[in-house]
Amino acid sequence: MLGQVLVNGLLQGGFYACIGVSFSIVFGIMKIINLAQGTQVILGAYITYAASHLLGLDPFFTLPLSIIGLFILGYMIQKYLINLVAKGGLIITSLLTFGLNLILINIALLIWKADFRGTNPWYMGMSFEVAGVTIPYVRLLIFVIAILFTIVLELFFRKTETGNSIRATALNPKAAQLMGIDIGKTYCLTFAISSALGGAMGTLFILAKPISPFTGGDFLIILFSVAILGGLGSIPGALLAGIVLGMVESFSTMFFGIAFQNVVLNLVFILILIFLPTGFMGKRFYG
Amino acid sequence: MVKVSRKGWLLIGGGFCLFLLLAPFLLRGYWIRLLTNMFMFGILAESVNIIAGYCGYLALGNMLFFGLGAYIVAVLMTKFAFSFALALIIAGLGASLFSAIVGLPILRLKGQYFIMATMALMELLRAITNNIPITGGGQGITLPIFPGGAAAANFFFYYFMFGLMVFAILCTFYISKSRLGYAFRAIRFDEDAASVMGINPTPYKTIAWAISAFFTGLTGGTYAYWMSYIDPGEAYQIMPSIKMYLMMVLGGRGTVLGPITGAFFIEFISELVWGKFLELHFLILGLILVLVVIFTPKGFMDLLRRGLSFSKLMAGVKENRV
Amino acid sequence: MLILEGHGLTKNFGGLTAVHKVDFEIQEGEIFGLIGPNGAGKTTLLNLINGIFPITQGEMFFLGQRLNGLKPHQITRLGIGRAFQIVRAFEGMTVKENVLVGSLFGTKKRKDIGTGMKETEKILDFVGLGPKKDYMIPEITIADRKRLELARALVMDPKLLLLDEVMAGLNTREVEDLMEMIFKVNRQGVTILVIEHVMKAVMGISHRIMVLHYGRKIALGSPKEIAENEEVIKCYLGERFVRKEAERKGHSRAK
Ligand SMILES: Nc1ncnc2c1ncn2[C@@H]1O[C@H](COP(=O)(O)OP(=O)(O)OP(=O)(O)O)[C@@H](O)[C@H]1O
Ligand SMILES: [Mg+2]
Repeated sequence: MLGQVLVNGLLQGGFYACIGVSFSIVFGIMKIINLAQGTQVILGAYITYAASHLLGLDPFFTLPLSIIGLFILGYMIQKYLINLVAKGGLIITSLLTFGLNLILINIALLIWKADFRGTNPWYMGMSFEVAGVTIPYVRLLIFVIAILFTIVLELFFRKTETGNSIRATALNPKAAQLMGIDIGKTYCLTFAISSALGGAMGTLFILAKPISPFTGGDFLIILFSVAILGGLGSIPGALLAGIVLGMVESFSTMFFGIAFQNVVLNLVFILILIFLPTGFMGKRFYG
Repeated sequence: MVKVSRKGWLLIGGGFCLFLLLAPFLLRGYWIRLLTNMFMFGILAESVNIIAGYCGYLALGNMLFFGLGAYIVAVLMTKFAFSFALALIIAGLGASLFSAIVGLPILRLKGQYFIMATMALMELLRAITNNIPITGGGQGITLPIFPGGAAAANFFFYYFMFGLMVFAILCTFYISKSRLGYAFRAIRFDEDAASVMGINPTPYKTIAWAISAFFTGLTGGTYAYWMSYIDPGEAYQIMPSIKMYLMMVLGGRGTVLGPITGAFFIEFISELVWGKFLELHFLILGLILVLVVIFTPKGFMDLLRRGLSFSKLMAGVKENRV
Repeated sequence: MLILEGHGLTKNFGGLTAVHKVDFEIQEGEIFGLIGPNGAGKTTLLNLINGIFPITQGEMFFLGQRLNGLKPHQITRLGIGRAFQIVRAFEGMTVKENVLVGSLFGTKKRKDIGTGMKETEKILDFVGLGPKKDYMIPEITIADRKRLELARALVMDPKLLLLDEVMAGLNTREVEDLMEMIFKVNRQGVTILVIEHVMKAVMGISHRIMVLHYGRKIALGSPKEIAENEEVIKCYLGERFVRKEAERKGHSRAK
């Protein structure tokens, strides 16, 4: 029993870490709260849904489609909307991303209606057992891919020139500009990467659970928590935070039932903000 | 461009007030309810203006006090047979007290962190309300019906909301002219510099949020009795929270009448336009949000002052662009 | 009598030590200069005095009262006024309102708006901003912003005035005006701690000068002693200044 709860938490945690990172790179680098990120994840899921139904593709193989689709969408959103108000302060950027969220939800509603949609690949429901703990193949796959993406992103930020220029912009936009970095472009790229990662997570999500246009809102508290607990821009921190959160969720479901899941998650988040505002790693920004 | 003199504005304003005072005798129930709704959002936007517009703390989850006020009134009236008046006063003070208690740790958080904290706090209250018996859980609570029939209720809630709104405006006006107002604004523009100029930020931030919570709680309580039904999904919503901010930004942050104007404008067109396109409701609100923050981030009055020309509009956009 | 004393003041930012074991004493009534290269820790030291940053190690006393652990507003009300290096005026308030805030909150006395307004006008006239009192901050020049910083500090009726590079970016004429003003304030009995890169100004007005380098105190003495100090010349002043200074002296002697 305990083993099962731990494993559930761990598997869920990998997914949380990755969507958390997708949110926190925008937060850490541009200081923008992207209230539309949950819905971007859902759009990725819809791409998978549409592609697997229309083209008969295995949902798993639609991953490149959702990544590319959301990358392009993210780039355009940043270039034609967010960059226009990026210096306008928190209230302006937050209202903008919320407005965006509404627009995306409404588009999804127009195309797919409010019903829940899911995928049903042939390997759905298959699982194996280790020491009395059941592990569904799909969940394991999601976990592995999410962790993989997170690590690749970390390497991208540390090892590539583009990654370094993004980090430099995060630390000091003015200085970066003087060094010849195009801030507007860097922001576009950052947001596009964040969206693409979110889109990929949407594909993974719909492998396991059906979605509706409103599902994105449920992710918000997870995104916030991973971003803060993981420390802004610290990817190892985000991994740890995602897993801790997965555990919290899985244990709270065991002890208090699923109905109290939201009570526990929100309460935990508020406590984190009060007692651990700089997260596990104690670092605030990229660097 | 039309220029309206100070006297002209006073005349227009006075005429409008007179109209509002007499409206229930002139209009049908539908319009009375619409105006009542506009007053309600006026109060909500003004409350947000006090904590966010004046003091600079963006309590994006401010609707949490609305829900709290609504539920205090609902529970006290149904489970404990309180009168509406007494229940409402407790709702206002209760919301204030709650804001002060959670404010102590949360108002120390800056910027984005505070926004997230208030959003989570609202979700937390909703989740709790959903799960405890005294609030009726997800089923909600039905309140006693206003005695005297629908017409009397329309009449009563119209003047009650109107009165509350006038009270909120006067309160904000007083604040804007007093020491409080200067302290709030100093904190908004630069909290460190404010403290070096002798302002202790903690009590002022707490007061600002408590006043904001007070009005929001009163409004929630009145709303619950007006609708005579409340459930967690209705009481704790992010959407009206965002709308309140939209109204404040459109009308002008940190001005006394701006948020009211914004509220009237948005509620009015929302009723006239969105009512017709139900399935595009989100899309239209989303577009308005996007357009407002891009083109009038400092409010509509600022735009008018600078003159309504295309080039000036674009110049305004350039300011916030990277 | 001592007005401000620091004993072994240290400030760490994570791994970086911005101020390292600095001792100093400021006499009541003097003008005390603080100089050093960029990033030496001068502004950080002021932030320690103000209480904006908590002191990592060491102790600070103002007129015998320990400042450690006090909040910025408490320290301000003891009688320490501050003009910021990066002008920190409240944008969105007028010049007059900016000063009014200091008048309303910066002293122990509780004042109403009317009284505050009267004091504000007086100070604005003193620094020469009277005619621009209803301007918004973005509408005034750099020189006026520096004057505004000074006004905001003065209106709090400080016993000790902290000035962080109020002369940076001003032309010769404006620097002279400001020096005149600082002298006037000092003559009224206000002790002044002044950070400045404009050497002519700081050498001209200070009674004593302290030099910081990488957070450490490397010298403290009269302007003359500082100008002749080997280490200071090596680290900060550079040969150019010394030569120019010598020329200037030779020149005036020749006259
Ligand atoms: N809030 C902070 N967090 C981290 N490091 C800081 C902070 N403030 C200052 N520093 C660092 O402390 C050192 C001293 O900075 P400080 O601003 O005190 O220098 P300064 O002597 O005032 O320089 P300048 O002449 O350029 O104004 C610098 O290396 C700076 O980067
Ligand atoms: Mg400095």
